[in-house]
Amino acid sequence: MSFTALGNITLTTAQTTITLSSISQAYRDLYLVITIAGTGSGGSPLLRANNDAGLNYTGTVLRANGTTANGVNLTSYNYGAMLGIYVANSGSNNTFFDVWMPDYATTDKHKNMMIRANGASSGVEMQITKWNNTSAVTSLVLTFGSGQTWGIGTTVALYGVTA
Amino acid sequence: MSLLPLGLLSQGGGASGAVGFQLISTSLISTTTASVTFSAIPATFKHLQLRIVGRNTDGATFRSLTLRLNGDTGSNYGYQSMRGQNTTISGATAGAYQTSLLIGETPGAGSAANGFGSLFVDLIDYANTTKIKTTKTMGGNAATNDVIAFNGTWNSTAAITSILVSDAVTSTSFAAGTRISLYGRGN
Repeated sequence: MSFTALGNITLTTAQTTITLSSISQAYRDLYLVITIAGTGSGGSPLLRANNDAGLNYTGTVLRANGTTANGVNLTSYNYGAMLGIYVANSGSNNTFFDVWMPDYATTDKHKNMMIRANGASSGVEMQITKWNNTSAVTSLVLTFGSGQTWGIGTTVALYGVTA
Repeated sequence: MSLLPLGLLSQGGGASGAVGFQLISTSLISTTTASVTFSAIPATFKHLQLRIVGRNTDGATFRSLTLRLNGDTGSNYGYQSMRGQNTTISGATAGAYQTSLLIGETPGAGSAANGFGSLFVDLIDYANTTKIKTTKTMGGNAATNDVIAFNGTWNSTAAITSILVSDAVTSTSFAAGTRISLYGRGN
């Protein structure tokens, strides 16, 4: 089988940051699944590679919210990969994100993050963001840009994918 | 802060496990290559999935990515697409059937260095012999700020036994560093 669970976590207390460290370099891709609980309005979760909080992330979002659909260029929000805009801003509980990060251990290419975000009452988004760095990804940091917290019940699962 | 040192798997259970994907074959391209073919694909899975991390050697900012199934070069392929590029959304269709199946694009040499496109392409019920074959792609190319969704059709009920991945539109080539993997998915 090609997917291996590297770890999972369910928060029992609210956290401002979740760090996945010491990621094995033995796989070809990473696949990250997040269900988010208890966030308030106004903040979008950020995903940072190797805790890089610099202006090193660019991307595009295709999104829909109710009857509105549009595209968003994320060059103005590049202190991390923004996991959701409509979805996370809603304040609704139990939204879902998944992130596919191919070739995360290579050192010859910038790293892509393909992101899907779904909130049944808030919207649906599809995004690709590029971390403009050729370094291998050894850790992932989940945080917020506006000081919010990951609520109790938030789950994070990380898989390694062989190829 | 919640810290999960994955080498230790010290929190939240973290038991090893597997999900229903199985690697069939991977092509890691180290020199310029025009196409990649997966042949003798076993019929033992329910669905197939291609995972592509690609770049093109052509001087354009991006180039098309296409499939040909079972060596079929006839006008038997169609698609619908939805694209977000920066703040613009657009849709497109093949209209008439074409001679290859457009599934997306990869950045070319005219885009920023070290940028690769990423796509995964599902081929649904590939071994079935009563259904017209359908594909769906989710992907993007951050080098040119594109995010895309494609739905494709191969107007054949034959089981898919081989897949050729190339740029059949402009006949350009994959750059070194491109990786194309084929997975089988269970029921």
